[in-house]
Amino acid sequence: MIEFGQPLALWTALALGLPILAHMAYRQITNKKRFPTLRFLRVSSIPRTGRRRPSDWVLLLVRCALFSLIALLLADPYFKAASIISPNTQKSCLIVLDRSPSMSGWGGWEEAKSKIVEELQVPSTQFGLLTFGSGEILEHSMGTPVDQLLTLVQSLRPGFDAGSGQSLFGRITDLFAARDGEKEILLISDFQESNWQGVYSDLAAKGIAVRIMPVGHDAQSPHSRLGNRAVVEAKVVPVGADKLRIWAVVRNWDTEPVETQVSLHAGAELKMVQTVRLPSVGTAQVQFVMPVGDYAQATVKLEEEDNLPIDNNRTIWLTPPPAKKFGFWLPPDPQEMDAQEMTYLGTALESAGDGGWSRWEVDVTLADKLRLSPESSNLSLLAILGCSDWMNEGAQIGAVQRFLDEGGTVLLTPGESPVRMNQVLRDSSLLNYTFVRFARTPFRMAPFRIDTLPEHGRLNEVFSGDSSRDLYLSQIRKFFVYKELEAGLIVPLRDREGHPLVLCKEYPSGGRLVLFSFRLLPDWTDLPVRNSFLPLLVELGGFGHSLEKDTSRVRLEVGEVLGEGDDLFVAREPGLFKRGSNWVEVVLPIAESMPEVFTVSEISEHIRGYNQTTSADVDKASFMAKNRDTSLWVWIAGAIFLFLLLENILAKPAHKNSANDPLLHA
Amino acid sequence: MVATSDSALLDPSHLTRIKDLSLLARVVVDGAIFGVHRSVRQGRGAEFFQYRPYEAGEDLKSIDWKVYAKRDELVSKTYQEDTNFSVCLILDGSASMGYKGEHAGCSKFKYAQMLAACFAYLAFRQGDKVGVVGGSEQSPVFLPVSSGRGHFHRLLAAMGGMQVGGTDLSATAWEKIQASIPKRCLVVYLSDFLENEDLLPARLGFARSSSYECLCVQVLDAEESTLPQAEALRFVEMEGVAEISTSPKLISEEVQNKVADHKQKVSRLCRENSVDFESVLSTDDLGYVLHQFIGLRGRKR
Repeated sequence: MIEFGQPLALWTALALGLPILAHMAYRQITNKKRFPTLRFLRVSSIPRTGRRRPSDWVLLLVRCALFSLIALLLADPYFKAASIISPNTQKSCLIVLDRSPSMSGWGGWEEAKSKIVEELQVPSTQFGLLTFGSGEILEHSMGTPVDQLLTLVQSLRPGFDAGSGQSLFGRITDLFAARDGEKEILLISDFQESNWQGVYSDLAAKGIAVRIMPVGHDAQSPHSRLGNRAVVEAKVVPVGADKLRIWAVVRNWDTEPVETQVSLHAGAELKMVQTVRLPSVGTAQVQFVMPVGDYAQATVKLEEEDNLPIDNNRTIWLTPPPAKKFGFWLPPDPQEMDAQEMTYLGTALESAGDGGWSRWEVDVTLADKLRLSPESSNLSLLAILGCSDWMNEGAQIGAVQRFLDEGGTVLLTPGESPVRMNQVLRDSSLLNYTFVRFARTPFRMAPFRIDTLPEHGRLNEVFSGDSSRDLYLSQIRKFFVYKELEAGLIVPLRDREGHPLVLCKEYPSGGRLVLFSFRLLPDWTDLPVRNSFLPLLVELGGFGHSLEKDTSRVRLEVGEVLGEGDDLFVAREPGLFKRGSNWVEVVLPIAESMPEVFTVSEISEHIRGYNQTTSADVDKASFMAKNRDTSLWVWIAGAIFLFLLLENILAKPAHKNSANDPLLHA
Repeated sequence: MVATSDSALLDPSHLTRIKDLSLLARVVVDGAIFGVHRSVRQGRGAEFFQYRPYEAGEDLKSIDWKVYAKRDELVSKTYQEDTNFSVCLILDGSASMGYKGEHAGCSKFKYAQMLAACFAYLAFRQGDKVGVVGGSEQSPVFLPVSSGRGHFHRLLAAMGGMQVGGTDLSATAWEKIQASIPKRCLVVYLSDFLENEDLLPARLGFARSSSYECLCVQVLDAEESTLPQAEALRFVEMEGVAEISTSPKLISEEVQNKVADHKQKVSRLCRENSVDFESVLSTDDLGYVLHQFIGLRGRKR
């Protein structure tokens, strides 16, 4: 049996009149006639002979058939199965419950539960349940027994996830059966998350009615977070050698200034309490100072209860992150300049820190151990100062090679004899280059300068503006000129005549060998005393890349994950968590503290969609779509193509030689 | 179609099958008007021609006194005059002459060509000199008047080789034609006279002299006034690029009137310049047409 998906489109069959009109109203197109003179002729109207008689019945019929087929095509015909399933007349209601953290405030959760219980009492309705905001979407299909739903709702608690409303809509349609009669979703939320601001769905077009039920915060104080205070930030920084400063930011959302007490808890004890005055809809800072090493973590708390308790405390980690180790290799009988260079470089590296925490730590033992033992080293950086043929002694070259293969970074400065250093490095295949000469600029003469950094180099990304200016102002008085560099060798810095100042070789393991063409001493260069030196050293050593991936101190939002496989960490709730040798701080999603832009009614519009198709229409369309067997679209399209071809052939102007029949069809 | 009483073979549609203009001319002239045409002039001369009753006022020298003595009546003795007459044929070969209507047996040019051949044959048979000029501005033909069989055949070959196309002859060409026309010449101008009729007085002004006789033969196709039978046509000018889309049925009567007016205008212009004018259709019997012209000349004498 043939039925139509869009029966209204059959009205387009009225277009059948078009070919008939065209036939009846066409004008004759004249043949060309060469004539001796036109002086006796004049232009006249061309009679519409078609009004008297359709000139070509076959063509007319073909055109009528063509328009009929197009109308048929638009009506979306299909063969429908003989069996007809009557749609369900029972109302279906899907309860969508927001379990985001903010639902625990302003009494929203209890209110939501009571409203669900009330809703479940409605007769002649089958219910389903969909929750979100607790890390995963919980589904209970349509028709779940009411008792089971009641038990479930009583056992649910708000989660800590951001609870994206948009993630729901993909599931809502699937939870309704095609045969369901009147469909409705009941959306229970406090609508305070920014995630609701971007939602869009076309539920109305799918025949699903939307009922919004604001609870908690939005029901009491829409567009504000009245009665709420929160610890929005907390950090710890060292103060001197044996003390820590704990610094916290507290926010007040009330429109009136309030005074509140902020406490510091460590080791399950109340350590300090401060009273702070919070401005209206503003923040204030609180600082606590405590000794280093007594406790591993501490919690900053607001002592007074408010409408949303979950954001009233913040736990922080008090111990510093583990520092990277570095060490030196010096010649067997170090000269004064070697010691001076070591002191200078060591001081520069140890001063590199993060928020007061030291990032680098010199470890002489590890450096010596690397010389003697073939075992893996925990060193991150090995600085070989005054490199020369003393490197050939023992198994030092092998140790360096192994260290590089394990991903370590080796920094070399030339010794007294650049020729011997060149030979050592070339023989050991560590670096292959040729020493040319020793370049120096006399006192009071212009020093050598660093040339413009390569446009697409890593250094060019780091050094821009003032920092690059500082680097370019560096003076180099003496350096060794190298050339014939091996393939794959990187030259990050050159002087203005193009001579390499630094050579860098990268290893597949991530290891790096960095060779300076000058010593890091004041009479060679002023580079070490410049601000740009430390960033330069970090970049040359490849530590800049690893800094971004530093997992020693990580802060995640609830719902975020860290690592993969066995090392996977999922942030499920706020707090401080141990992950391997590191700590992970999990905080509430930012969305839970963002102001709202759209009102609930606007969000409601976004969810319904702008297509106001009636539920009955959509039900019917959906019902029919489920039951259709074979679409005739392709067949009719094929027929249209054939008729179009036929029409073209029939309407093609005939080539006539006789002037007696010059008439052609339009 | 007008046809002679004795033969339908002179229908242009039949005559067009004869490719040899010489043969065609003999067929037409000998078959249709043999014995009718008198080209000789009566007057002074060496060869006796006939007797006729004396009329008062005539020169007494023409009276045959011997006859008067025998029969007691005055008769005048007439002699065949040595005419020394020339025929110059001007044949229009412009593009418009190439038109051939649906019911016509030949194009206007072909008809004019056959007519010209007949005139040439008549002149040749009675020993007159004959020449032909014409064609179009783009391919003019110029063969001065002369006599003799060889010249006659060259003339027919020149006419047979003429092609229609292009525009009417220019003023320069006409000056050359006028300069080449000898004294005592019959000029036969065959054209459709559809364009440049206002130039006729300038072109044929020489005919006002008694030394010349001029005959303009307008050859038209019947469809030029009745128009082709069709609901609508896009007419394209043969000598240009102009176009007009029109319904022939609607304007046919108007066109007939305009063509008739045009004929009258050309006829008047010819009369004013002592030029005989005759309009024929390309479907007319050639023999009949020749009868008409010869009768016209006879009447003039």
